Amino acid sequence: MINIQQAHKAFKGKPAVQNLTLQVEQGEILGLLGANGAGKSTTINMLLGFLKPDSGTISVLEKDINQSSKELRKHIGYIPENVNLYPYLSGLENLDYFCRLSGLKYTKSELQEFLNICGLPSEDHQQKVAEYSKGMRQKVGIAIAYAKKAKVYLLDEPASGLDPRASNELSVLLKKLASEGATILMASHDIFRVREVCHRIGILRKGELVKELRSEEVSANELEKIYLEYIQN
Amino acid sequence: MWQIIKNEWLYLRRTRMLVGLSIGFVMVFLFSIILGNYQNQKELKASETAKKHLREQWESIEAMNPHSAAHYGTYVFKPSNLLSSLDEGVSSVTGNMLRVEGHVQNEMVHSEASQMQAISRFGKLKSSLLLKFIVPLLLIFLAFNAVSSEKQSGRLKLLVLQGASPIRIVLAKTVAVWLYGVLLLALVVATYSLLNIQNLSGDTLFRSLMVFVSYALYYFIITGLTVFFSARWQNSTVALTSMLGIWMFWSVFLPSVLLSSVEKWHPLPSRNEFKAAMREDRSKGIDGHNPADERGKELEKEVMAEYGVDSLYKLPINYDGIRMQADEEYGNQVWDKHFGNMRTVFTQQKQSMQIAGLFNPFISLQNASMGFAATDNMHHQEFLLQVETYRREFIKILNDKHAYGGSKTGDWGWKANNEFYKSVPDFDYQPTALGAIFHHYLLDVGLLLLWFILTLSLLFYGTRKMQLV
Amino acid sequence: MYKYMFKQFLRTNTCKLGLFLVLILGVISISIGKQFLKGQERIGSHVTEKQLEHIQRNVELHSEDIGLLLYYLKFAVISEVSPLAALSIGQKDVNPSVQSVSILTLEGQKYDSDLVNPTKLLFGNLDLSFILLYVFPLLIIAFTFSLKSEEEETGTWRLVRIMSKSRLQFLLAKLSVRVILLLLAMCILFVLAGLILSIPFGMAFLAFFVTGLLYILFWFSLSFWIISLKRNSSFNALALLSIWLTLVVLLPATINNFVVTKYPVPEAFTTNIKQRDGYHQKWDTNKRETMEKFYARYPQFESYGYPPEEGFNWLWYYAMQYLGDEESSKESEMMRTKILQREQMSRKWGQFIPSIHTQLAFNDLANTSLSNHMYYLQYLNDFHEQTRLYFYPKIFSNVNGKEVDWSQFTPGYFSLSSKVNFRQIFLPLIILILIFFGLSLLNMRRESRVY
Repeated sequence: MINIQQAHKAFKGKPAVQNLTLQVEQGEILGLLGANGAGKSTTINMLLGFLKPDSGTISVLEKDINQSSKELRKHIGYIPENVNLYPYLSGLENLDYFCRLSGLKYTKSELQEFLNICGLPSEDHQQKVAEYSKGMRQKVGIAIAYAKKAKVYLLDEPASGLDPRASNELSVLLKKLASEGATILMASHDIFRVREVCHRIGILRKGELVKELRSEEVSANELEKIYLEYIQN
Repeated sequence: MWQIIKNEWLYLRRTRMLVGLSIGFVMVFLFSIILGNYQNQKELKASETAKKHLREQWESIEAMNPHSAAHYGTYVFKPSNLLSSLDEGVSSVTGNMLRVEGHVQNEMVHSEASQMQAISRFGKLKSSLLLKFIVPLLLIFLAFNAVSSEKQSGRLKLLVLQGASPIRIVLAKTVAVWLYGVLLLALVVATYSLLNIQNLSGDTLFRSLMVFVSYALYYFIITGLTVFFSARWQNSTVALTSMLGIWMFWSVFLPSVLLSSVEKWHPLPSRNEFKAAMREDRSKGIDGHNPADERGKELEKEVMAEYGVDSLYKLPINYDGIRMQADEEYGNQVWDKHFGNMRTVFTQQKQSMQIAGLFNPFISLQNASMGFAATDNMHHQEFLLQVETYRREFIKILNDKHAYGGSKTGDWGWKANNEFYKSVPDFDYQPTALGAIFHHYLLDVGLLLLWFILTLSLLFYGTRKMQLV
Repeated sequence: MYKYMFKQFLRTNTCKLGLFLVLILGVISISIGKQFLKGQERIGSHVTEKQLEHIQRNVELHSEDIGLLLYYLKFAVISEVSPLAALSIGQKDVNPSVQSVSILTLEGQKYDSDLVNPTKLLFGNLDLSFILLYVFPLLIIAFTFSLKSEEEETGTWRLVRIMSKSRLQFLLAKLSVRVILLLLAMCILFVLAGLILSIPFGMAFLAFFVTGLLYILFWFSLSFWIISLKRNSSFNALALLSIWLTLVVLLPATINNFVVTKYPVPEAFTTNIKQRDGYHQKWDTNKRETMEKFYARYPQFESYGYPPEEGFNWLWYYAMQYLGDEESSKESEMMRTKILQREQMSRKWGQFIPSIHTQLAFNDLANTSLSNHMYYLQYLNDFHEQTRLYFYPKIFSNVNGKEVDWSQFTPGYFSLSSKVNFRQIFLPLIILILIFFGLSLLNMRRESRVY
């Protein structure tokens, strides 16, 4: 579903992503671990088609993202680290607005259903987003992706800044989405959360994928050890 | 795109500061409209009363020598039209009353500006001040972070992911803010029309429409540029500062500097020089009170030959009237020459200013706004010409009466009766129809359109490769 | 500390661009002033040159009939234009500094304005006073609106709080860097203006300079007060710009409106109409009545007696001309009073609105205010009367035009040596500066107690 082959990307001569090859299958959750500046966000931006790789190919749903970005974007959901919505609209209105932008018209009860699925309690639907917590906004962000029936979810540091309960709810939700057939890639530096949620884990260092492993192969403590080892080298 | 525009409006409606600002602004607008309308009505009434009073005085002349009546003269008033309260143009600096009498062409006196302390560079609080200077500023405030705020918050990525292309976002944002300006504009024009509904004519409507179009174009240029800067630069403060700079430069500095330069390229004589030159030219002609020099003698001979007499006193008519009319006509030629020169200079100055619109759409807006409101210098000169035409007609009637009314040469005591004075026509100002002079403003509207297209293409091509990350 | 503050600020684009812009605009404004001054000089010398020629030519033509000669002769009165006027053109572009009047009825002659493209008057002049009043405040806003908030938003404020002994001192130091730079720019402009326009260094120039300085300090204190409210950058920017808009654009315009509505001058045209009624109805009334009124005012001429009722006569003609002025004098005086009332009203309000106050002070110092023009008109009245009284006996006894000593009729010259009232000019500004500065200090104090 997600296929990155030999991708290179440099900013002003400084490489951000080098020689990156990566696949994510349908129903799979891949976690990208890496320090700040390891190239996680660049990878996601390339997958979104916002950045073009200097060389290599990036395809989503078997199609090259740079050739059919418009069509592919319909199937991609993106949840940034900080989901910023329009503070003067309610959660429901935000969802409605973003759906309408992609040409989808849902009834109010359908929209509420989406929010409920993504874990936003009904009593909060009508509140202004200005009063939402970070976790609540993230749920609306996922609902936006869910409402357009995204086949691919890209998450950038989704767990940072969430309280443990919200973080846990997110894990449950992501697993559910994957079990329904979504392809999920999440970038993070939260080793424990990644091991818990993801099926597979990749470690990035200076833009290079230095290690790939399956999460059931290691315990959280072992993963931390491996991570630190690779990062330091 | 419609979705984005709707959302922008929701933002305006739900942000308390903006709602407050808009309400305050509309209040100031309504206040200025009502005040302007009130002052306009008062002025109209005062000049109408004065006009009536003067005509009554004229018609009540029982018996008077026609030449005395020519000295007695009359006054004409420049009536303010409906649109002059929208943009009063040059009328605050030109005055609105002109004395009509024999021998001389007078100038307008008592401009409002000469009786005021120069405390405000922007004149009085009036709709045109708000429309020309303040509304653009408001649009800049509303638009300067239109795109950069989306970018800084990261919503821009989400928008694009949802299928809204960058160009659509930028255009929609521009249109949303622009519509806000247009709405204010419509409010002003509509309020004026409602206040004066009984005086609306086809020409006035045409003119208001053109005023509306000119401002709408200018607002689009300002909004579009602001949104463009907002999209190009990460930092919204830079967008704000540069737009404020452009605003200042366009609407305050350049007009002033350009007008000074234009005046240097096409200089006008000073009042004293102008008058002295007229006097000089005229003194070469025959003197209205003194039949002593050459032209006078020639005319004498001519007239005596025509009637076959050897002395002016034997003429069956009054030679003084003929002589004064001849002098009048000579003076008219002198006036035509000098006034014509002045008009040429004015036209050159105007043309230079129009071309300056190439660098500064504000100048085009200013030209168009005053022109369509019938308050620019060209309309003013047109009025002066009409008055002069009337003056010639008026004086000719009086001189002819003096000559052929039944008196003899030298008979200054002879008097024409009341009936005659009643029959002299009053000045009736014919407002210039826009259709007849529309071509003078084609360049201004054209340049505004050019800037409009330029802004649009900037938005199209400049933001196509907008940095999303 | 200062060294780094200067370095830091001088490196910002805002600073470079701002200083560059204000210097360029300042130089442009000075050259516009120079152009204006040159124009005025040209007019003045042209008048002096032409006046003798004009008199001589007419004397040649009409020396036999001195009544007719004086019907044509015009005498110019020049109002002095001080070099300072180039810095603050004020009313001088609307009201000309030269008027030529004949000894006929004065009323219709004294309100002539200069020949200019009226469009130009609409925009006003871009003189140095404009730069000081409008552009400097904008720069001050751009330089200071994020004085404190930029440190907060970039996160350096916490460091500053820990490292510096006094936060207030730190901010004051930052502020003074900006004050010093802008005042330096202003000094450069004044030195340039002094050299280019060869303005004599005297009380008026000094007062002009100090007024500008105080006005700039006022804006700094206002800006500092907004900063002391401790809001974010965009709030500061918006608040300061709104204040700028209100103080320099909206309020002066509103006060203009208010003053015009409160003191309407319908006398402007009633005066003219009265004057017309005054003298032209006399054309038909009996001459004795006219002469009686004239002699009541000028009994010294009573010996010239009463002309016959029939026919034309200069004695009666000039008496009638004079009565035209007499007739409209009440309206003329009323108009004068109203204009002076307008002036006083704007001054009264101006005390509280620094932009108006400073503009008026500049105009006063440069002798370009409306009141200066009113004094000039007063002088014109006196000049007119003196000239009339000189010629009346000559006309009434029909002296030959060649016997008059014409060489003394060079143009009249009006110059107003105004005393500078320092207290009146400086005090309102100083009080406002102290108020805003005091308020800011209070705010800063209060804040430090909370932390």
